[in-house]
Amino acid sequence: MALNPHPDAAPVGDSAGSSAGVNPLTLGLDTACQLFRARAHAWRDAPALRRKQRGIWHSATWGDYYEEARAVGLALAAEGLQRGAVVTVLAENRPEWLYADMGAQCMGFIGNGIYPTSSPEQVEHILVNSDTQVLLVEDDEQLDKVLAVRSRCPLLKRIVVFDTEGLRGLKDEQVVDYASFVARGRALAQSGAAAFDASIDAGTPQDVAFLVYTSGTTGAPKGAMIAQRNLMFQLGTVRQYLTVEAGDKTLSFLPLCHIAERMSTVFNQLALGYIVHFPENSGTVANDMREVSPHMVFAPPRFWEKLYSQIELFMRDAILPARSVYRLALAQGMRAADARLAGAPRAQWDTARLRLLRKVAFANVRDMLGLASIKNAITGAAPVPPELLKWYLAIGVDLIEGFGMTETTGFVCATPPGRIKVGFAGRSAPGVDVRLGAQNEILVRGGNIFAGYWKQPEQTAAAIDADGWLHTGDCGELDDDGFLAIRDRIKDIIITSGGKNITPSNIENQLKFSPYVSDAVVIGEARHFLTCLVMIDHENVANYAQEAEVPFTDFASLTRAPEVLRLIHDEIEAVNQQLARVEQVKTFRILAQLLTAEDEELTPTMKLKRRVIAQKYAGLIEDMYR
Amino acid sequence: MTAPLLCVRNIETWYGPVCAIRGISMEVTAGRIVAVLGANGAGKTTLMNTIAGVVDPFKGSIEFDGHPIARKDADEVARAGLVLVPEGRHVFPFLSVADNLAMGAFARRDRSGLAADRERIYGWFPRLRERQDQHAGLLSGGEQQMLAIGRALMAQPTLLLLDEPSLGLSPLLTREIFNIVTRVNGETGMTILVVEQNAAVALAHAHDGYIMELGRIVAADTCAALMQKDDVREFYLGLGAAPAAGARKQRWKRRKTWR
Repeated sequence: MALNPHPDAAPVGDSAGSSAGVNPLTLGLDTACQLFRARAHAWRDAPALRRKQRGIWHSATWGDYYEEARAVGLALAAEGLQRGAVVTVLAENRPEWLYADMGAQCMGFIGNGIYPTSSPEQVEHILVNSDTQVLLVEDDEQLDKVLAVRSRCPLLKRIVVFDTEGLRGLKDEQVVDYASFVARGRALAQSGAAAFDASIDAGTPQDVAFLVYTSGTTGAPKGAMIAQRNLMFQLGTVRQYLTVEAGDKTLSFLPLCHIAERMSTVFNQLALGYIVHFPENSGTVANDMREVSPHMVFAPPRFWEKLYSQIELFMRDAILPARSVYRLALAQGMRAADARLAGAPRAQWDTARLRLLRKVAFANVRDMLGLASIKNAITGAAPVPPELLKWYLAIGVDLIEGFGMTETTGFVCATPPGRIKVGFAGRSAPGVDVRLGAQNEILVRGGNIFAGYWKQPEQTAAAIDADGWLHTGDCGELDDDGFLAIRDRIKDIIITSGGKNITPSNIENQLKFSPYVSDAVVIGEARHFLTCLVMIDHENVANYAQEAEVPFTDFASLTRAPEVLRLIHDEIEAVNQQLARVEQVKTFRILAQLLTAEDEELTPTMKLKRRVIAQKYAGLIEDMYR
Repeated sequence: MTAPLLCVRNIETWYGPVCAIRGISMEVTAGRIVAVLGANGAGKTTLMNTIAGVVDPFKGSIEFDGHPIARKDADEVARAGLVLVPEGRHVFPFLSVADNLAMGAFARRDRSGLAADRERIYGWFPRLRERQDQHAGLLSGGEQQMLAIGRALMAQPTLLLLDEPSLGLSPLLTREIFNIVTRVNGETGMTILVVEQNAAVALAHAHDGYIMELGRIVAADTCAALMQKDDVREFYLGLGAAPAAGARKQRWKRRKTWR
């Protein structure tokens, strides 16, 4: 699939163009919608989106994308929505998500997304809080959630269903299927296409583009308003972080409600022109990734760890020659990675011999992982274990770290290409200022700082001070080169009964480096020692038990097995070795229930919620201090 | 607590490149009826065949009455007192019912008790007595199942493995077979491990239960406790929350969590 169909691809990828005055990434336009329209005209016949359905990839060109978004936009307007009305999508990643989101924004409406794993109560909270007027849902299952709560959402006018399988018998005035909704929009476009253009022209940089409800490890989720100017600022500087070009490929598999995936699937594409692919479903991601072989992957460290342990397990069962070649090449590759991270000159870690070895030994590994063509491998949201980083360097993948949050419209900083520094999340782009405030809190100022929380001025004032600095709530460090390291959430800092300040996430992250620990919560506020609750990684611990011949039946029995307790104990002890005495975890408990994203204990991104855990497992916690 | 009669630890069984059961551990306590439930292709029959020595596990160990039996031949395992009633019955069609039963006692050394045992089996399965001179191939499906169980009982097993005794039988006959299984267990204290698709009947008659999915055990408990689990009620017993009057039928499936 060699694709280079963009007639004007070169200037897009060429940062030298900016010296001419017009930034080729944003074309000097005011809003992402205007940029979308310009790209749709310029790249009309080039593919923009691809989706796999029943095993076959279907493409939509930029022209198709624009027409479909216009149809949705006009159909939404026909519902009587005014500029500033909120349009929400409750679905897994799929092209219709983008058509709805982009169509709505072009008409001056505000986009919004809800995690498909949300409970009906969470759906209700967001629908009510955001004043959603039109909701687009995935299918029968998601529709049922809405139907259960819609009586309490007075502003909700219309529900559009993408996939109507199983809904033939449904007669409901409020519900319409996506196909007829779009057909109505297409009919309107025959005569009313000018209205769509006019709406795009009427957009201003101050317009709110979309809301992102923060996953909320604490408190009820609140909607962060991302303005068009935030988007255009980020698109204008995206070259600082990414090197992918027009015609390159990406796979959209993390939730689109999250700022990182939203930017990478919907908006960065407008600047860089890559082709976004949608997997068949969440179970086929590994296969689809192998098939697409994306040029850019952004995923949390957990994802990269999974890929790594998959290869390690696979090699354990491989034939002897394959195993020895792998071990030999890996040892050399790791040494080279060490040299590189230590700052040795290129000649020491990039020799012809090493390149050959990488090619012979690791080409298949990269193929199997779907990383054969990777240009930008990015991780964030949690620190990366140095060993993992080195493994990827050894097999020839430069895994880089980034730091960003919803309130900064994605990136604050990221590792500059070729300048990996372990433990640091890189440097910010020009125009983004980073400094440390009280308690070493990371403060950020720049064009990427969001427009505030939806209908919550006090919360907004608490987040952004009078001088425009965003208080991230994270504490960290800045080195002389301007590289930023993230330490912890300030409000999570534990003060023990001995008066010691302890940063729990530092300990938790080290615990999470273990393949057997999926997540952990360290406890110790006003106590005289630290303890922790551990969520084990079901697959890896089950594999361990199987290898070590530890009998178990269901998940709960696995968490009770003495050998598993010893395994986790040893993992914690190994971490304790690297910690000061007051920071050492004295005892632990394993959560006996297999939690899913639907459970209130987890955020949609599968992190444990500290507050909920502390409440729900109070008995278990007390037990550790008895 | 006494040691379990059968102790399966971490067995893994492959058919060529296909991993049919991927790490199963279970315990069967003497005197209990233990049910293994699961959908088609979950690996239940493979589990039975692995325990009985028909196929060898790739990894793991099986202890029966304190002795390792994994990777032993099926006849050796049967002589040790662990007898399998295979799925699909497999009676000898051209032998009479009485001869079929006699074949079950092939490996027994104590000839003296044979007649008494046969009488006992005729007592449990009166239909077999009525047809003792008929060719087994002429029996109905339910009668063939009774014969297959009877044949296995003639070997005086310590542990009886039943692989889908309800296969192709009406609900009424299924219940009848299970009633007899319960009776045999009650009267002789024989331990029985039964694989079953009819979850309602199996959970009602067995003491302990295991649920298998895709080659792994996802739930293990007493049958009484299993019947309380939401997922078991919805997916195995068909007792999901009934839709409110007038409400649309729910077409999508909840994800199982096995709580």
